[in-house]
Amino acid sequence: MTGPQARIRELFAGAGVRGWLHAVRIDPDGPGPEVAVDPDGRVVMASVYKLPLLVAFCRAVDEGALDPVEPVRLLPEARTAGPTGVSAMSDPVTMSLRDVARSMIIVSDNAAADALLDAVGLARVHDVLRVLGLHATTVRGGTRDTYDTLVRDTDADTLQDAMSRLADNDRPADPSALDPLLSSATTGRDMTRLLTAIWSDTAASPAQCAYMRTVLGQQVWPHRLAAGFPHPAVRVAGKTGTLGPLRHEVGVVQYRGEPPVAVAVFTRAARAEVHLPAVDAVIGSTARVAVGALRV
Amino acid sequence: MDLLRHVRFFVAIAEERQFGFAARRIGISQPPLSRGLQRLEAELGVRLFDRGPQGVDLTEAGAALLPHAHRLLQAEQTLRQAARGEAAGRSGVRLGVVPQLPLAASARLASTAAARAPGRARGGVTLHTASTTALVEAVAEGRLDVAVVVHPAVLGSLAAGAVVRLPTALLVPHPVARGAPARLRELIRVPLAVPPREDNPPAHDLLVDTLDEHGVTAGTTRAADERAAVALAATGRACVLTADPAVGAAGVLRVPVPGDVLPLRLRVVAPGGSPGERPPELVAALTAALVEPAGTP
Repeated sequence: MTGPQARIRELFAGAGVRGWLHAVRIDPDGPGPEVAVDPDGRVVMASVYKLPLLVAFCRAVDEGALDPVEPVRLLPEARTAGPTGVSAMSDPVTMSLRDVARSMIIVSDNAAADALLDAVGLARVHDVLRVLGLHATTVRGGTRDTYDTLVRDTDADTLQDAMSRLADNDRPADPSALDPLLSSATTGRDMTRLLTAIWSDTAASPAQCAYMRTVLGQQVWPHRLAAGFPHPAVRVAGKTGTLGPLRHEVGVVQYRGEPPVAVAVFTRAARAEVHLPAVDAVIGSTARVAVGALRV
Repeated sequence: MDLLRHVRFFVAIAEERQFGFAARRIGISQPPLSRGLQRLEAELGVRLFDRGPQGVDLTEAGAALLPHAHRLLQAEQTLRQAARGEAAGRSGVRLGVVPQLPLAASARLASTAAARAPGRARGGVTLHTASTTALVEAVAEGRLDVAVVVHPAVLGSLAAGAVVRLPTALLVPHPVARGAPARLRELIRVPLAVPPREDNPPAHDLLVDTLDEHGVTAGTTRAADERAAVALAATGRACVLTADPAVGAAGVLRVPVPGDVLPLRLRVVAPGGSPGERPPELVAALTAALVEPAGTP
C-alpha cells in the first residue's frame, strides 16, 4: 500500500503527463490538512486566470465601482475567438456584466472574459493577488493577449494555424505562451488559497462569495475534476484551463455533510493532440485520491 | 544528529500525513520514524506536527519551516549531482539509448558523443540500453549525461532536441497481396507486438490510437524487446514494427509502413535548467547523428 502522494505520481505518469496538485481541506477554523505534489511549481494558467478575474469583478461590485446588472453589448468583430459561449456565436449579444462573468466561468467563454477584463481592468486583478497573498501568481493579460503571443511565437497566420502547430507530435512547439516566466502563471497552493477565500467568505463580501460559489458550481464540464466524483453525494465546483498541452482544473469538492476540499490539478501532456481524454480523466482520478485522504 | 536524515523524515511525514505511509516511503518502521521526529523537534526547539487520530497535521511552525526543509534537501541533490558530474568527467560520456534504436544509429551516436566531448575523449563512451521512462529518470538523477528516448515522453525539466522521425517497416508472418499498395489494416492481421506500456505510456497510447485511426482491429500484444517480437512473428503470432533495417527473419515479409504513419520518433534529452550544465551543443550533435547520413543504402 502506498500513500496518496506516491499514488498520484503513478497516475500522472500513467496518463503521460507532468502533473502538479494541491488539495487542502477547508475547515471551519481555516485551512486544514493537505495533500501535495509539487504544489509550489509555477504553471501557465490558461483559462484558470478567469478565477482571479471573477474575484476582481466581485470586489469591484462590492466597492460600487461596477454595476453587476449593467448591460454590455458584445459585437462579433470585437470579440475574442473561442469554441464556446458568445465566442461561438454569429450576432451581437447584449447581457448584464454578471452574466458575462457567469458565461466566462460556466463555459469558459473567451469573448466574455476579455469583455469583463476590459470592464474590471488588470490593476484590480493585481490587487486581488496582492490582497489575498497569492504571491506566486502573475496575470499578464487576457485570452486575447495569450492568443496574440501564440500566433506571433509560432509564426502562424491565424489562431487556428497556431493551434494546429501546437498539436503536432513531430514538431513540439515551445512558445512563450507556455512559459511560466513569460505568461500568466500560478501554483497549486495559490489557487487553493484563492478557492479557500471564496468558500470562507473572505475573498469578497459574503453575498459576492455566494454568487461566485453558485457560478463555479454551474460550470458544465464533466470530464475533468467532476469525473473523479460521479455519485450524487458529492458536489464539484470549478474552473478549467486548456492551452495546447496544458489541461487544468481548480475547484472545490464537497461530500454531503463533510467539510469542502479545495483542489488544484495542473497537467502538461507529453502528447500534442487536441483531445486526450485520458489526461482529462487523470485530473479527476488524482483529485479523488487527494480528497479521499483528507475526508473526515 | 544526522540532520539531513531527520529533515527527510519531516518532509515525508508532512507530505504523507500518516506515520505509516511516511515510514514505508523511507523504508523504515514506524517507531524509529516517530522517535526521529521527536529528536528533530527537540533539536529545532519547535513542535512540527499536531498528532491526531486521523494522522498528523503541520503546526504553524512546521508549515513555516517546511519550505526551508525542501530547500535543504534540494541542495543535497544538487551537491550529489555535481559530484556525479565530476566523477563522470573521469569515466567518459554516459549515453543512454532505447532498445528500438537501430544498431547503426547507436554506433553513429557513440562516435559522435566521443568526438564532441571535450577533454573526455580518453574516457570514451559508455552505452546503456533501457526504456524511455528509465532513461528519463536516469538523466534527471544525474546517472546518465544524455539519452535518446522515444517521443512523446514526459520529460519534466530536461532539455530536449528536435524530434527525429525514423521510418519503420512491418514484419508480417502472412502473405501480402502483390501490386496495389496495401492498407495498414490489411497488413496487420495478427496483433502487433509492442513494448510494455510502462516503458513509455504516452508513446504507447499514441501508437494504439494511430492503429485505431487507420482501422487496425487486430490489437497489440506485449513483447519485451525486438528479439521476443521477432520470435512471435516467426511463429505466426504477431506483426513487428521496426526502424532497424537489419531486423528480420526467414519466412517473414518486410513491408514499409504505408504513408510512414507509424514512425519511430526519437528525441535526445539532457539535464536542463540550471546553469553550468552540459551545453545543448551535444544534444544538437547527437540529434543530427540520429538522422541517416545521405547516400547510405
